This record gives sequence, structure tokens and C-alpha cells, in this order.
Amino acid sequence: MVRVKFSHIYLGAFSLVLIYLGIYTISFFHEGTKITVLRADYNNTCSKDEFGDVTSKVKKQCDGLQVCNIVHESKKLDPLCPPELRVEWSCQKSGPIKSGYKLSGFREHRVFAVKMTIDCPGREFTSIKY
Amino acid sequence: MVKKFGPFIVVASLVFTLKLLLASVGYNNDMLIWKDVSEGMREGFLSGRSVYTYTQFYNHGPIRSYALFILASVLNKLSLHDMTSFHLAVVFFLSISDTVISLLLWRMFGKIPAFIYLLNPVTTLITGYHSQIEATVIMLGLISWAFFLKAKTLYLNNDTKYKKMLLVSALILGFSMGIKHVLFFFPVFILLAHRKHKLFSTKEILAYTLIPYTIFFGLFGVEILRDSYNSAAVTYRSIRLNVFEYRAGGLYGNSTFATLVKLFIPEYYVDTYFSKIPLIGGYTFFFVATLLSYGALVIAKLKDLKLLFPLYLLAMFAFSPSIADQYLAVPLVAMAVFYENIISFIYFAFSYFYLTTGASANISNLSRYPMVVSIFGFTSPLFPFNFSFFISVAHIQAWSILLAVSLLSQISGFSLVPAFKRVVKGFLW
Repeated sequence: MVRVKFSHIYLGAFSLVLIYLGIYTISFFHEGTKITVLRADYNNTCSKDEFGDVTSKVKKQCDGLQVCNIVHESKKLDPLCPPELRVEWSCQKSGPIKSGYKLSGFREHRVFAVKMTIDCPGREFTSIKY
Repeated sequence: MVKKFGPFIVVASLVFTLKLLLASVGYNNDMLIWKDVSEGMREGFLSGRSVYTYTQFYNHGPIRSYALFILASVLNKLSLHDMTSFHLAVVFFLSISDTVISLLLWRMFGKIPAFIYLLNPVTTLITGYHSQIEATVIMLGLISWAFFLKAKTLYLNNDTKYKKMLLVSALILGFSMGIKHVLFFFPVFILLAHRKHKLFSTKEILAYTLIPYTIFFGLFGVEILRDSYNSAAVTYRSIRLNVFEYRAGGLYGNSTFATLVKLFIPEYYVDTYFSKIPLIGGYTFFFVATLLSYGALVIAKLKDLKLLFPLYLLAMFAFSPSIADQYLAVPLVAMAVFYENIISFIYFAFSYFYLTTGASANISNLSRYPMVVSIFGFTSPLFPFNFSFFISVAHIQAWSILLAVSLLSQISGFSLVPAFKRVVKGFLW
């Protein structure tokens, strides 16, 4: 039986954190300028007719673009039940370890005529002001 | 040799690469200031420009400004004027400092503290992204300390080479202080240790103490004489205001230690009476008094002299009247050496979470959207963290104060466990 020492916990925890930091850092190099839609759901909680997976529709509209304006006009608009569109997309371009990890982003939006802009601005060397 | 150092070389190379990658991801305000200073020095250093009259944002010893001049000149020659190249060059040199510290820790304290220091994410973030100079200052301090301990061994063996070692140690310590004054009170610790343990002859120890201070203050004298853009009075005034009277902006007096002082002495009295003390006015007085008292208490009972250096670094951070993100790097050597104390682990954890979401090293805020990592089917959040708790540097300093007190009690042979048992017994019966 392997005896776990305190030093093992340190080194294990630190190694895991550094792996995560490494993935996070490398992801910046994989920030591409082409959208890949992973999933899109439309949800109108008050109308059972307008609900479900609209991935193929949004994918057809946005895949490969850098900026995509999605509009999903709702047929039945109820002020008490604003519809929501949820899109999950990735800007990750191919890389040697793409199969090893996956990163994605998502945004939710609640307006009457559902409009959303998704984009892949590409890698930016940014400055955080404080 | 390869079998012994092979894993270290591999791990050190990977961590080195990670720090360089982090440097290419982004930068913060401090980097902008250093770039501006380096450009200013490149343009004016040879014609007598002093960094202290060039900018108010330079609050350390002059050696760093000389290094920034050399760096800017080299980058200019290579036509590398962008921020990325500058950041990468700075991180390259700082990463070497971290690796050397690790090697010295291995030599002095063993393999485990060396690897803990090498792998800890706090160093990775402060060197790789925040890119502050603490690592270089501490590296030089550790080299100086290694020479000092070697000189002590030679002295005990009546080998006259100890004098050369002692001189080299003093010069390197002075050089470190000339970059940043983290080790400013360490010669006093050595004096206190000599009083207790008779390290060398008193004359030699006094000379050892004077050399770093002569270098430190002498360098400012050189700056005053060198400055051809302004009169000596103006340069002196700038040095006095920007270095010796610098109080870390709005951070001064708000640290956990300063808050503890305020529990006993109202802020009004600190401002009214203690601020009149020259150079160490206000909370700085309490910092210096506590630091030196702690040093005296620790030295009185310390059996292993080499622990003095990490204990000093711990005390410097624990009793500091002001806290900034980069100060978190100061006690890391101590945390690695005293890793068996659970407080060290808590310090590392809190510091890491703070740095990834805090003000100046807020690396997680570089992400444009919440990131979820999926590695071979296993999913977990990445950045930014969605934790509900909020960690501040004040919490982190509190843990370091606790560690300092805990180590003092251990060194003094006082254990809290019997006392705790007596209290519990008292309640039960």
C-alpha cells in the first residue's frame, strides 16, 4: 500500500494546477477566427410549439464566420414569457492537442425578438488595467 | 548526475516554458510602467538621466533601472519594440532566478522544498504574468546566505578562506538591496544572531553589516551625482519621496498587520504621534519593531542557523504594513521550507485563487467567456472561477502571521496542544 505523504499532496495539487494553467495559456494560441457552433437551444416557456434544439439552423447560419448575428423571430410574443436563445460555440482552431481538451463559450439572451451576436475575434495580447 | 537531476531538469524546463507562455498571453499596468522606464533609461541613461527624476513610479534601488537600460538597449538593437518581446525578456530572466532559487533550496533544505518552490503556481503567476522582481532579489539573498553559511563552516575549521566568502556574501547582499530593499533588515538579523551565537569576530560582523548598507545608500549617492538633468537637491528630494517615504499608495495601513495594530492603538494616535518618527514613521515603526523583536525571539532559540533566511522572509511579509500582489512572492521560500505545516498549503491555495481573480494578476479575466475544460471526457470549470467566496491579500497575510507565530512557538519549544487539553479539561470538570 502506498503511503501518501504531505509532500505528495503538494506536488500533486501543484502539478494539476500547472496543467490547468498550461491548458488555459495554450488555449490562447488556439483562439481562431472561425465560429464552430456546438449547440443552440430556443426556449419559449409559454409556448410549447416553439421549443427545442435549433443547432442545425444556427450552425448553417454561423459556422466558419468570424461574426454572426442570429435572429430567431418568435411567432407568439408574450411580455410575461420572454423567449431565450442559448448558443454554445467554440473558436478553437485545430491544434496538435485538440483531441485532448475542448473549450467552449456560451451566452444566454432574453429579449422578445431573440437576437444574439456571437464572434471569434482571435487571439489578442491584452492589457488589464487596474 | 543525470539520474539525480534529470527529473528536476525536465520539470524546470516545463515550468520555464509555461512562464514564457503566460508572458505572451497578456500584461498589466506594472509592465507598462517598466516598459516606459526602460525606454526612458535607454534614451537618457548615458547622458545622465536618473530614474528618480524621470518618473515617480520607480520606488526601488537603482540597479533595476540599470538593468532596464541594458534590456531596452538590447531589444532596441534587435528592433524588438513591442510589449510582447519586452515581457518575454523580463520573464526569461525572472524564470532563471526562480530555477536558481529552487536549486539552492535543494542544496540547503532538500529535494522536496526545491520541487515545491519550483512547481508552486504562485511563483508561476507572479513571475510569468505579473513579472515582478522579487524572485531575483530573493535569489541573490539566498546566494549571499549560502556564501555566509559556507564562510561560517570554514571559520569553524580555521580555514582563512572564510574572509573572502564573507566579503562576497556581503557584496551580493548589498547588490540585492540595491535592486529592491526586501532584505534591508537582514543584516540586523545577522547582528542579532552574532550576539547570540558568536558567528565570527565582532569586527568582521560589523564590517559585514556595513558593506550592504554602504552599497545601498552609496548607489543613491551615485544617482544624485550622476543626474545631469536636475540639481542634486531635486534628485535627493525625488529619492526621498519616491523611495524612502513611499507608502504603497492606498494600500498602506490597510494590511492585516496594520489592522491588528489599530486594535490596540487607534489610528488617530498612530497618525499624530508615530508619524513624526523619521524614515520609519506611522505603521512602519510597528513593522520594524515587530520584525526585529520577532527576529530576536527566533534567534534566541534557533538551533539551525540556515532557517534564519526563510524566517526573515516570512516575517517581512507577515508584519508588513502594506500589501501588494507581488509581496506574496516574498515568503514563498519559507512556505516551501516549512511545507509540513498545513498553514503553508493554505497560503499557497489562497494566494493562487487570489492571483487568478485579483486586481493586478487577474489572469482569469483575460478569458472572454466562461471556460469549461473537457479532458478525455472529464469536465471541470477553468477560468474565470465561479467560486462564491472572495479572498483578499489581507486573508493571506493573516495566515502568514499565524505561521510566523506557530513557527516561533515550535522553535521556542512551546506547544499549544497541552495548553488546549488543559482548557478542555477545565470545561469538562
